[in-house]
Amino acid sequence: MARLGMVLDLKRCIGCNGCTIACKAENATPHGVFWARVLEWEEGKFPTTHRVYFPMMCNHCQDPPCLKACPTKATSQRPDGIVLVDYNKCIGCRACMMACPYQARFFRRDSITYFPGTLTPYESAGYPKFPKGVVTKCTLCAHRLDQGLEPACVQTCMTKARIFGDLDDPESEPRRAMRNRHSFQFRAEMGTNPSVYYIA
Amino acid sequence: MTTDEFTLELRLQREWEWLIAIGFFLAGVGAGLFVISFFLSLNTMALIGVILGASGGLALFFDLGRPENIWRAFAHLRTSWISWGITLLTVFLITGLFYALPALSWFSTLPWSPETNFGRISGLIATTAAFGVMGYTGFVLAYSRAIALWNTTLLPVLFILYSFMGALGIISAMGLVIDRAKIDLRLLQIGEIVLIGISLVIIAVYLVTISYSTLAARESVRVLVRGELAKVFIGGTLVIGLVVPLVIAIVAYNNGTDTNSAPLLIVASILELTGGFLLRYSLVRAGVYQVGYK
Repeated sequence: MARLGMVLDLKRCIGCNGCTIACKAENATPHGVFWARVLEWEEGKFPTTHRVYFPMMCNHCQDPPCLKACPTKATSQRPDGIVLVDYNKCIGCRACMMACPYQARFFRRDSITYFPGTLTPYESAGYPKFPKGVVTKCTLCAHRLDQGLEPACVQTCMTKARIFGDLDDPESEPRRAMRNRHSFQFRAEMGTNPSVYYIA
Repeated sequence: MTTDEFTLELRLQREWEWLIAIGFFLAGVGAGLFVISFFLSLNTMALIGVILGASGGLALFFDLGRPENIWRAFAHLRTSWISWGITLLTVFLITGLFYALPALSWFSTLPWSPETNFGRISGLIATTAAFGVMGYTGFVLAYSRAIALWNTTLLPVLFILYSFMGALGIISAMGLVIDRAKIDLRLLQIGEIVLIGISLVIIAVYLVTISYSTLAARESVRVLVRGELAKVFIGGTLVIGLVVPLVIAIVAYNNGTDTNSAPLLIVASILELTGGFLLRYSLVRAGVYQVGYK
C-alpha cells in the first residue's frame, strides 16, 4: 500500500501563500481556518538578514497522537496514511488539538463569514460541510486524490516547492527530491513519524 | 507572545479555558471527597462528593463543541484519556449515587443502605472509579504533547494530591457542621498540614524541572511566575491557596482540639478550595504551544 506524503522544499518556497488560498478555495474552510499556511520570520541581523518561509500543514503522521487522543474515533487513518476527521462523530472536545505537536487542527464554534451580515454563495455552499463545534484539519485533498488529481496546494504551487507522492516508492518524486539534500521531519523528536518532510 | 498563526512565535493555547478548569476542579474534588467519605463512613459528605462530581461533568459537557454526540465518547478506551474519564465518571456517579442516596431522608425507604452488601459493593466500585476520576484529569493534560507545561508525569500526581486536599477542605468546611461527631479533628489538622506541605514541594519541583525544558515550557513558567498569570498563580494558588492555609492549620494544630480549631479549619479549607481551583485555572491558561523550527 502506498504511503502518501509530501516533501516541502524550503529553498523553493517564496512565501506567496498560494497554497493557503488554494486550500481555502478548494475546501471552503471557514473564516480563520487555514489548513495550509506558510509561517514566516526574519533571521540574522541587519545588513545580513533574510526571511524564512516555512510551509505548514497537517503532517499526516504515521503514529498520530491526535488519533489516540480522540475519544469518539472521529479521527481515523486510511491505509494510505491520510488522517481524516469524521465530523459526524466529533464532539469538539479539542483533545486532538492539544495532542498535535504541529498546531495543525482548527476549531470554530460558529462559522463567521468573511463579509459581515451575509454569506456569499460560495460560503453558503461550502460551510454546511463543516458542522459547528467540530475540529477540522487538512485532508490532503483526499476527495481529489480519489479522482486521480493532486492536492490543491500542490497543483497551485508555482515554484514546485510542494512535491507529493508515495513515500514508500524509492523512485517517486518526493523520494527523488530528498536524495542528496538535507531532509528532516518537523519536530521528529515527538516520535509521530510525519509523512511530511522538509528539504533545506 | 502572539495570537498570529502565521508565525513561529510562542502562542498561548486558548481552546481549553475556564470551563475546563471548573470541570476538572469539581470532578477531582468531588471524587476525592467521595473516597475519603467512604472510608470514614460520612454518607452525607459522600453524596455531596457525587453532586460535585456531577457538576464537574456538566461543566466539561458544556465545554464540548457538539455535546449532543457525548454518547460517542465511550468509544476509544484503548488510548483516549477522555474516553477513560467519561467512563470512570459515569461509573462513579451511578454507583456513588447508589451508595450515598440512602443518606437522604427522602430515600431512607430504599431497600439498601451503605451498610448492606449492595451498598458496600456500590461504594467500593464508586471509590475505585473516583480514584480514576482524580487521576484522569491530570493524564488528559499530561498526554498533550503540544503543551510542554502539561506534558509531565508530575501533573497527574499534583492533581490527585489537590483532589484529596480539596476533599479534606470540604470535610473541614461542611463535615464539621454536618457530621461533627464522626470526624477526628486531630487527623484532619495533620492531614491538612501534610498535604499542603507535599503540594508546596511538588509545585516547586514541577516548576523548576519544567523550566529546564523547552522554550515553550520556560515561557509558561514565566507567564505563571512573572507574567500575566502571576497574580492569580502566586497570589491565589500559592499564597491564598497553600501558604495561608498551612499557617492556619499549624495554628489550629497547636490549639489542639479546642473549640477555636474548627472555625480556623473552615477558613483554611475555603482558602484551599479557592487555591485548588486557581491552580487548575492557572495551569490551563498558561499552556504555551511548542515551537520547533526556531
